[in-house]
Amino acid sequence: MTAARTLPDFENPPAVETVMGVHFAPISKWQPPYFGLFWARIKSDYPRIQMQPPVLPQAPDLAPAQPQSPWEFVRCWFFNQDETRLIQIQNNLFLHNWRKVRPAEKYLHYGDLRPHFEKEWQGFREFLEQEALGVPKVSLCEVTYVNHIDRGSGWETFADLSEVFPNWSPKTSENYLPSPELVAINASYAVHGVEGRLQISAQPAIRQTDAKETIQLTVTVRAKPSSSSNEDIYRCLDEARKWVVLGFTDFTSPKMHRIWRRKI
Amino acid sequence: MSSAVLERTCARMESPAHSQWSKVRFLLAAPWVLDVMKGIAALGHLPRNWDGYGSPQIDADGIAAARRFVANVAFESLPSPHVSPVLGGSVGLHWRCGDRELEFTFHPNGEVEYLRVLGADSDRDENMETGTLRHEPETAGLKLLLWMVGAR
Repeated sequence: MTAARTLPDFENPPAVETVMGVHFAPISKWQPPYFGLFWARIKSDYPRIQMQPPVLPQAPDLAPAQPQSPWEFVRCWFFNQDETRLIQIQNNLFLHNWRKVRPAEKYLHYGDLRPHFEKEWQGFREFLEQEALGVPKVSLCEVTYVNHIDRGSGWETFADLSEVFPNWSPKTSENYLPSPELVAINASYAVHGVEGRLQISAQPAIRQTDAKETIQLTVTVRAKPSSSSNEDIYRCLDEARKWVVLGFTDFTSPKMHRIWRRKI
Repeated sequence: MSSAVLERTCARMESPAHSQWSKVRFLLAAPWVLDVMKGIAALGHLPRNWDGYGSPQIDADGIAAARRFVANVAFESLPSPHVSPVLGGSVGLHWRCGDRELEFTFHPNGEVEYLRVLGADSDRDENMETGTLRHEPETAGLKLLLWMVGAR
């Protein structure tokens, strides 16, 4: 992961959070006490926990699936003291999040984060093996970048949105409607090279930590790895990340790229 | 109201569970939040002695606290509050839902006071309750707002 960067890169990107992880077939023997056993292994790095509602399962055909057992309704968060790193586990999911808590914090690139994911994922696999819970049959790899494009940084009203997202137009047929008060965009693209989808969502939002108005631009790729081996999972994550970065760059305007100080 | 109603209301407040950790309130689910945010921010432009009785300017920390509060507690079925300046430089948010009323005051010292009133006859003391939300005012405030909309 130390190779020279060839993908678009920004000095001051709007990314506030990166998620990478894997979805797998439900572990049939999984029960809630295993959350505690796993926590004992990682508690020194992730001393805080929180129970959460589940992430909806993703079936191999990339359509939402029905829960297979009651344990799918439990997800556990394990996070570090300064709330920058998070491991999310449910019986069919392992995700690793990094988020920027303070605005001045340095943005961590995928190349900085993937080794952390590899370490934690390998630790989880070893835990499953030790507890005789089996080897996860991985159906999907996921990479998500969450970006906050704050009001005042390239846009002032939703009439300016075409300056942020070139595929949006404020034009109407008969000029009856005023400028939109709010706009949300959802788009889905087939990914080439691996079997998967790229989903982009731009949602007007208020950030809860500082009550600032922002457009949350979420770019997610979920794709099928060739096998459940770590090599194929990491290869699939790399491909997913490539699509996320290129998709983000393509979806946003050159004007915004200048604001985010595009390097390559 | 039954707890089942509370669960349904809570489910509407949150976006579907997803992998994201950063917390935001999506505006399409509660567009009134935008107007309220602007209303609270506008209080910062009031001059000293805005009430003619020598009140100071509205405190910037109180404004920030009220905006954070709204960003954290807003949900789809919550009506829009009335925003007002309060004597002494504080920010007031006032909600009414049927015969229930809730008032929050965000003081310059960081304290959040509330007043809740139940019943048409708001002059009766037994219909009123006051208190101070010192820690995590958003969590306690949300419980009060759920009470107001009849979800608990």
